[in-house]
Amino acid sequence: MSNLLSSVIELGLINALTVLALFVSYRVLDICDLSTDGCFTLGGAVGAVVAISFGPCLSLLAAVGAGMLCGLVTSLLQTKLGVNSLLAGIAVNTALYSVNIAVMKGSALINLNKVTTVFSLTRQALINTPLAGCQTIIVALITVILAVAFLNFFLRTRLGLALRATGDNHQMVENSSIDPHRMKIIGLIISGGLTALSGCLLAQSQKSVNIDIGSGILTVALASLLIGRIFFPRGKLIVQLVGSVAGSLLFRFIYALALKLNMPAYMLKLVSSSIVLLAISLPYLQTQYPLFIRRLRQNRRA
Amino acid sequence: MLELRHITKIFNPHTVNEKIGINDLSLTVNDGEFITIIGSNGSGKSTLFNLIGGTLISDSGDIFLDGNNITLQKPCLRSRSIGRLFQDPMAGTAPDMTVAENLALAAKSGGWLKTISRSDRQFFRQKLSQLEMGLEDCLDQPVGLLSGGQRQALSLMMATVNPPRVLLLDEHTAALDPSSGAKVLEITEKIVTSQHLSCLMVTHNMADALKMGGRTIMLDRGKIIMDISGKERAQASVSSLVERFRSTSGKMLDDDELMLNN
Repeated sequence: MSNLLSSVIELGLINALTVLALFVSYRVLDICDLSTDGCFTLGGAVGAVVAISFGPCLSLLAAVGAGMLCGLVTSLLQTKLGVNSLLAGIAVNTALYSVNIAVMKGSALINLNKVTTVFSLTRQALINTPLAGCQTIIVALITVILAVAFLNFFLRTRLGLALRATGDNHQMVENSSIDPHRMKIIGLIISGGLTALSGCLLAQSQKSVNIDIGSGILTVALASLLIGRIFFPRGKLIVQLVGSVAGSLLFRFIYALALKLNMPAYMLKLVSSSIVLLAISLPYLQTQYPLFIRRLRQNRRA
Repeated sequence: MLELRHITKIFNPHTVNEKIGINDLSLTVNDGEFITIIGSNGSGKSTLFNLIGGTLISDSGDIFLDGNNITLQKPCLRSRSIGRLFQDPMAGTAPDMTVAENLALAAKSGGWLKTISRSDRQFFRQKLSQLEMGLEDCLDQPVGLLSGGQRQALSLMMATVNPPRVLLLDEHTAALDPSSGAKVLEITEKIVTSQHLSCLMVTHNMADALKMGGRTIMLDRGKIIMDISGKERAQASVSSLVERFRSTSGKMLDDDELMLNN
């Protein structure tokens, strides 16, 4: 059980970075960024290749940089070329499949078993301390705390406020002499960086990266974000950020429980899709249901 | 000084739906001048504001603000010197953000990476108390929870916290209930006079049009058909305005019934 729990926490924390990325793009900017899956894989691929050649520390930086570049491209398509935000995401995501294989030098899989990663580095540092063996949780936790702290500061600065207002009331932002296009670009760059970092950490903790590592991650992260929202619907920014991380952990916990109850592992994507759809449609159905009942009664009377 | 020179804007040109929005219109707004604008629906009032604000770009003609040609400037750049309020109280504020956060965006004090400080909050509180709408006690409330009148008063404060060169008011009290509308109008007059702002205000209320500001213009089919100020304006009455409109354009005001009632 403790093994199961620690893997829940590890995966939950690593995915939480993607959830935080979606917090910026989906919640704050109100953009559904469909390039998330490809960007996650890009982070894993770049992270792996750089870790092999230049060591683990640089690999994190390189992954974040690649993700930011990916966010930049998606946002430029949306703002400078007038491409619809969904279409821009789909196009970038498709293109990233080729880019990712190219990054992995033509192969669809890279093995990191014998490569020094941030986790193996931490593991050596932790030998003979009470925390020995917890390297994955520790590295992931530190990264998540840093990301939450960064977003909690950034989204309260004037730039962050401008970002939030862009998703909230586009017209008002323009009237406040802020360029909403520039805000979208900044937001998607940040969210791309976080997504790729998440992919990089997952690849290094699994000691391998394949071309499908990111497939479905958008839905999983969206489900986590929405679960977090159910439990922390309102409140201060920090509460919502921590709520998103908690949502990620909770999602992984529910999923692990389902696995324990003999749900086959391949059901993950069906489950996450269902959670996303339920979380979005339930509030809508709640408003529609009373009306439906009234219509039914009226028809029966007539 | 805001100067419009021979501005023309035609919608859907060369189609059956072609419609003249603004027709060779020239207008000079001097510093500190408060102009009220009246005209029936479709006379070009909102188009005029959209052209000045940059939401629309004119087909021909030039717009100068303090000598700079701003005809083609992006709206987000223009809004540094042009403040704007809309009829919809929801348009000027971000509903999910707090009153203080909305004001901080408008106030633009400090750099991009500065957060709201205690002195900022003090400043906001002092500014909001001038509105006398109890907003100074709602700094941390999401704006979405405020009433329409409060939201519009806040929008007005946001548009004027850094005094703009020109303030555009597009029927900004029309969607409010009569008492908060009157209140917002009163605040408007106070702010515009105390900051000595150049201001253009569209209204459907003839009495307000004559009472507020120092100059009144009437638009019809994209042209200025009446421009009164000083003595002539002081002697004008609501009924004379309506009469004048009829004689010039040869048709009834769409909603003069409503205007006469006010």
